[in-house]
This record gives sequence, structure tokens and C-alpha cells, in this order.
Amino acid sequence: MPVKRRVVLSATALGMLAAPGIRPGSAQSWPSRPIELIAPFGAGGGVDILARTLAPFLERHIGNNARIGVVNRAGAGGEVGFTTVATARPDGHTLGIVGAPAFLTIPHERQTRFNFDSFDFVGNVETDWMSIYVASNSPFQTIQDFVDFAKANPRRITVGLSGMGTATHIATLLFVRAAGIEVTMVPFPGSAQSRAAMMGGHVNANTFGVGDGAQLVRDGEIRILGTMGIGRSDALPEAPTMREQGIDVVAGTDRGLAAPAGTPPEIMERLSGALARTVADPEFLAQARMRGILLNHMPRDEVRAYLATKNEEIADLWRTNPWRQ
Amino acid sequence: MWDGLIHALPGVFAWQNVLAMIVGVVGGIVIGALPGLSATMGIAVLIPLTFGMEPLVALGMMAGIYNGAMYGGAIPAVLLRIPGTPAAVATTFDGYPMAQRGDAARALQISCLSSAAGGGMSALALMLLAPPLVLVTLLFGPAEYFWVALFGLASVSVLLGKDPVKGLISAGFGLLLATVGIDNVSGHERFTFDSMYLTGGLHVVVVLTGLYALPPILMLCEDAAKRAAGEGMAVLRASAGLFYQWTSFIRTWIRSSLIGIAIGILPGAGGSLAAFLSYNEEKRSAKNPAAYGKGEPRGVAAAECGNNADNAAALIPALTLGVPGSAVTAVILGGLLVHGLQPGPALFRDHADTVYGFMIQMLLTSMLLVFFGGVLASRIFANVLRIPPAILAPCLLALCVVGVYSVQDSMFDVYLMFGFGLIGYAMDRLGFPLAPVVLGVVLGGMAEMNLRMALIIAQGDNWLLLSSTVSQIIIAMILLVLFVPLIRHLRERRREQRPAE
Repeated sequence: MPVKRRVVLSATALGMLAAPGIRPGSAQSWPSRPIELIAPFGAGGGVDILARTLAPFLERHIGNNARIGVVNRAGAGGEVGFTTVATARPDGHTLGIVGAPAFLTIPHERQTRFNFDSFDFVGNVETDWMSIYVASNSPFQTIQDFVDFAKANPRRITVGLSGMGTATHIATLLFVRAAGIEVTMVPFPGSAQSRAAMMGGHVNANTFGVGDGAQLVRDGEIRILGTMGIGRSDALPEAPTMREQGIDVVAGTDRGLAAPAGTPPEIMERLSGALARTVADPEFLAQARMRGILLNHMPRDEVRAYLATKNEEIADLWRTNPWRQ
Repeated sequence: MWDGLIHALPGVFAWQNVLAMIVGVVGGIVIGALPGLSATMGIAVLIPLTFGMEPLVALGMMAGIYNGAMYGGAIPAVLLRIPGTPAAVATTFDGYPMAQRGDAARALQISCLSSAAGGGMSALALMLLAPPLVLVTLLFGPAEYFWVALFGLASVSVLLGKDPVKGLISAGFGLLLATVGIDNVSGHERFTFDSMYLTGGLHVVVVLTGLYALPPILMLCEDAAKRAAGEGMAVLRASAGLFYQWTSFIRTWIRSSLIGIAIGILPGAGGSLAAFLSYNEEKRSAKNPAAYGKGEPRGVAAAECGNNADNAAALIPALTLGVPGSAVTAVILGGLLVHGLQPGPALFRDHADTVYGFMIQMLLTSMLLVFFGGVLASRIFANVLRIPPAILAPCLLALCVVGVYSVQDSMFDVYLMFGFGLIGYAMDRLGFPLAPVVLGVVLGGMAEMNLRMALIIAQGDNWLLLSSTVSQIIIAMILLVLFVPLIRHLRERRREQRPAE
């Protein structure tokens, strides 16, 4: 017991000592050391490439000799990285790329050390709209063919996904709800296998992003029946949206810059300004285009409301149709 | 196609690109040789560095790392019975006994030549046969992959060792480990003990390094206590030269290359399955199957040729359809995207010089392996055995920790590795073979998930699992693998009994 008490006491003492450190003074002295930019997925992937493309431009536009190091914290579908950002000291020296819907779905699915309110969002950077694809020799020429067949044959159409709870799954759930149909969803261990199975005729359709499918659509290897975008995607402007075709559904993946909740407002303002100047920087725009980053900048005040709506939508899906008991 | 290849040649032989390939090959050999570090990680780390480079320079380095690491994994597998990469497990079977006999240099040279042969054949397949081979890829859906995984698991019979019961227990342990993590189909957590570090499942490199690398290190430590300081472990016999009797391996190389290429074009299977199946087939078709596992050079040749033959072939679905067959090819695809190269048929039209150049680089880096792997590396690395155990053991341990940490930048993985190290040590001492565990980890998840997806797709009509021709062919192969040895065994026993009658 005495040992335990000593531990508790010293922990409290440490906490008191650390308390003034939580507000490391003014935003003027920020950044006082290198900023860690957490990429919650492994090196070489889309999130990593986004983080490493952003970092030098953010450094330039923050000024004050800012130094940003990208740190990969992969694992558990992004959970390890999201937790790292959410539980970091909110002093502006830890930032992260957070991806929706991943960081929104995980807290619904299981016990986590973070939730929606653990983050303060600097802004959204990239959005790829989810879309429904079929093989080029599929009888479904339009989304109407697809919906008509599904209505006549409930659950007969198989749709390949890249796993339960992923963006592809959420989008498919929203799509079938909006279209009033039922399909059989097949969760593959990744998008690559899912796509191959569609091209080989093992599943009837697939849900994944426009950015991933644009080239194959242009090559005539696969057919896109509609994107779930608010508007048409820059990656494939000829592809119509679902809304244009009378199905009211919007779904995609968003990647944005976030800090732990409680980061001083002055620092958040400066970050948000730096991000706005970055996405207007012609050099950044050129690099983003070459690397296939689908820019969709949303400033700080806008992104929070946008993500909150998404979070509500997922909470509602989870309530009505939990994909895991 | 020929036009494309010829047009790409001058670019490939620009000095920067030649240098990039050399750097890649040497770097790849080192990465592969260090336990825990793999080609996937090497290339992933390289990608941000290539942002400013010409595409062919970046791709040349990636090709070099890819081929180099696949061979590099054989080096510690032969010398210390520590596979440097998951695909090098089968190399330990005969490579390590050869090294113990004093033929380490010879085993490394065979590994190197076989890697080059497999990699070269695979690159040729990529250059010349990509369009027809990708059609084969598309024939495989979840049902077919399930049977492929079962076929791989059936090859466990050669890995069982002296005591089949212990071997099967090991394999069962491997299958159990494969279930850890979030179940992709139902979303349930299995054996995660509420730790988020386990929700993603056990990374095969972590399990492999723990099971395979730590026991030999512990044994080195035991050895160190017994030996005087400054004394090396093994006699090293001079080898008869790199190309000594190379023609005797041609049949092995052809067989293993075909197996490796076949596995390569199937997304999700990977180099370790290619190596296991090549080894299995080599042993099955040999006149002297009893010699395998005791230092038969052809066993080394089959395993190393098989795993390198997976390399370029795995790029076929990746480049033509944007479907990467493995973690490495997924990262390479990421590297291509960074340079604005979108996979698909248009890639071959719009960026012909780059994509054909990359294919030639895959071939050339395989050839460079002969020089850097065979002439230089074998000579240098074989001398590892001259290092006294008291120095070698701590160095190896440090390398393992760094390597495993770098897989996902996670200390949790390092602790897991130590845990598996102790399990591996106990298993080794109690005579449980380790290879079936790795096979179970690699193929267990593949078999389970594909079966369940196939059942979802079948929508109650479960005969669909057997309906395709591809499925039926693989099932026939499984039956052959399982029952031919049994029939042969029974016939031999009858022949032995006859004189007694």
C-alpha cells in the first residue's frame, strides 16, 4: 500500500509540475521544436504520400523556421495513429492526417481511446468519391439496370468491398438504403483482390474510389455506373454522379489535417492559414496533380460541421444495421 | 511490344540508371539479409526519397531492392538457419545443413545463381507473356484461392519432420495464430485481448523473426559459454567456383520458375508459398527424396529459384490491372503512382519507355545478383561464421529488434517477437518443427477468408465451390499431393513383406 500511495503522490506532483507546460505560452514561440505529423498508415501508401507531399509546404507557410517530420504510426486500420494524435499533448507540436470514415467508424465499432471530440480539425485536404463499378462485359449498362435487377432479385447481386467498416462498406450501405435495394456484400481482404474478382466475373460489382478506378475506366477495362460525389470528380469528369441519376447518396473518403483537441486557438488559426496558403501554392498543386491527390480543401470552420454530419450518418447506420454484433 | 522494349533500352543504360540498379541490388541484399527488414519496407522508405528523381532511376532502385532482398533472405537462412525474409524459410531446410558441413559458400552461390535464374525467367514472363498471363489471374476468385491455399497447406506433409504428430501440432499452432485480429468478414475481434495492437493481426515478419531468429541466437549464447573467445563456429571449405556444375540445376530451375511464376500472378499468395511449393515439388520428383533436409543442393536451388520467380510475375496483375499481388508490389505500385504512372493498359501505351524500361530493369537486376550476390556477397557473408558467438549473438539480437520495430514502428511488436522467441526456443528443444507454423500463419487466413467469401458469393448453392474447371484441377492436385506418397509407401511396404511370405 505505501508503495502504491507514493506512486500516486508522485504522479500527482508530476501532473502539477506539468500543468503549466500544457499551455506552453504564446503562439509566437510556436513551433519551439520539430512538429510531428502522424500518418496513421504505412510508408508508401496514399495517406503517407499525402503527408509527405504536404509537409514541406506546411513548413514554408507556417514560417518561423518550422520543421515537420512525418511519422508513420500504422496498425489496426488507422486506430494506432488516430490514438497517437488524440492523446498527444495539445501544444501544436503533434498533428495528424485523419481519414474519414475510418476515424469515425472505429469508435462506434469498438472501445477506443479517442472519439470524434478528441480532435480539432485544421481542414480537409483530399476527397475521393466512392463509386459503383461493374466489369466491362457486365449486362448492367447504367445504374438504373443495376437497381431494376436488384429490385426484381433481392440480394442476388454480389458487391465486392475492401472489408467491413471501411469506406467502401459505408458507401455501399448508404447507396442501397438510398436506392431501396438489397445486395450481397462480399468483404475482401483488400481492394486489389476485390477488383480482380470483379474483372474476373466472380462478383458482379465493386465499390471503390474514383481516383483508383479512373484509369481502368478510361481504358475500357471496367465500367463506372455512378459516383457518390456532391459534384463530378476531377479524376473522371465524364462519370455522372448518383444524384444526377436520381439516387440521393453522397459518400467518399476524406483526408484532412487535425490536431489534438485543446490545441491553443491561436496555433489552430496559424495552422489553418498555412494550410489555406499551401493548397493555393501552384507548386503544391502541380505535385498533388502528379501524385494523384484529389484536392478538396475545406477550411477549419467548414470541416467540423461536415465531419459531424458524417459521424451522425455513421452512428445512424450503426444503430439500424450494425455490421458486427 | 518488341518495339517498346527496344525503345526503352537506351534509357535503361543511362549511367544514372545503371548506378541506381547497382545501389538497389546491393541495398536489397543487405535489407533481405537482416532479419525483420524486408523488400516491402525498403521500397516504402525509398519512395519519398524518389519524389524528385527521374522515374527510371526510382524504378531501377526499386527493382534492385526487390530482387536483391529476395536473394538476401537466403544469406542468414543458410549461415544461421535464420530466414531473412518469410520467403527464405524453405531455404533453411537444406541450406543450413550444407553450411554446417562446411559448404556455406557453395550454398550461397547456389542460392544466388538460382535466385538470378528464377528472377530472370520471371522478368521474361513479365515482358513477353503479361497479356495472356493476366487472363489466368482473372480466372481465380475466392473459391479458387481457397483451393490454392489448401494446396499450399497440403504441402505441409514435407515439412513435418521426423515426428508427424508434432509437425501437425505446429501447423495447428500456426493456423491458430492466423485467426488473431479483426475478422474481416464479420468484423469481430478474435484473440485481441482488447489490445488495439492485436486488432490488425500478427504480422508474419514479427512471428517469423521471433520463432526463427531468437532460438539460434539463444543457442549461440549457450555455445559462447562453452567455447573460448576468439574461436569461430564452423569450418569453411573453399567453394569450387560460382558456376561449378551449374547445368545440373537446369531442370530444377525450370520447374521452380514455372511454379514461382504461377504463384506470382495470383494476388495474395506470395513468395513464401512459391518457395514451399517449389521445394515440395523438387523433393517429390527427386530420385533421392531422403537426402532432402540433410543438405541437398537441389533443395536450396528450388526454394531460392521459386521465391525469386514470384517477383516479376507478381507485377503482371499490378501493372496491367492495378491489382498488386503482394505487399511489395502494392508498395511498388504506390511508387509508380507518385511518378504519375497509373496502372492499366494505357500505361504500356502512354509511358512505354518507362514501363518497358522497368521490365528490363527487373531482368538486369536479376543478372546483377550473380555478380554482387555471388562474387562479392558470398565471399564476405560466409565469413560471418568466423565471428565468435560471443560477438555475433548480441549483434544479431540488436538487428532483430531494430528490424521488427521498423515493420510498424511498434514496440509492441518487439515484445511479441521476444514472446515468440521463447516459444520458438521451447519448440525447437522439444523437437517441434517451426516451418509448419509459418505455413499456417501465411496460408491460414487466406484459406479461411476465401472460403467464407466463396460461401457468401455462393448464396446457399455450395456446389459452386467445386464448379469451376480451375477449382477441379487444383483439387485433383491436392489429392495427388496427399495420396501419391501414401500409395507409394503402401506399395513399398507390400514389397518388403513379400519375401517374408
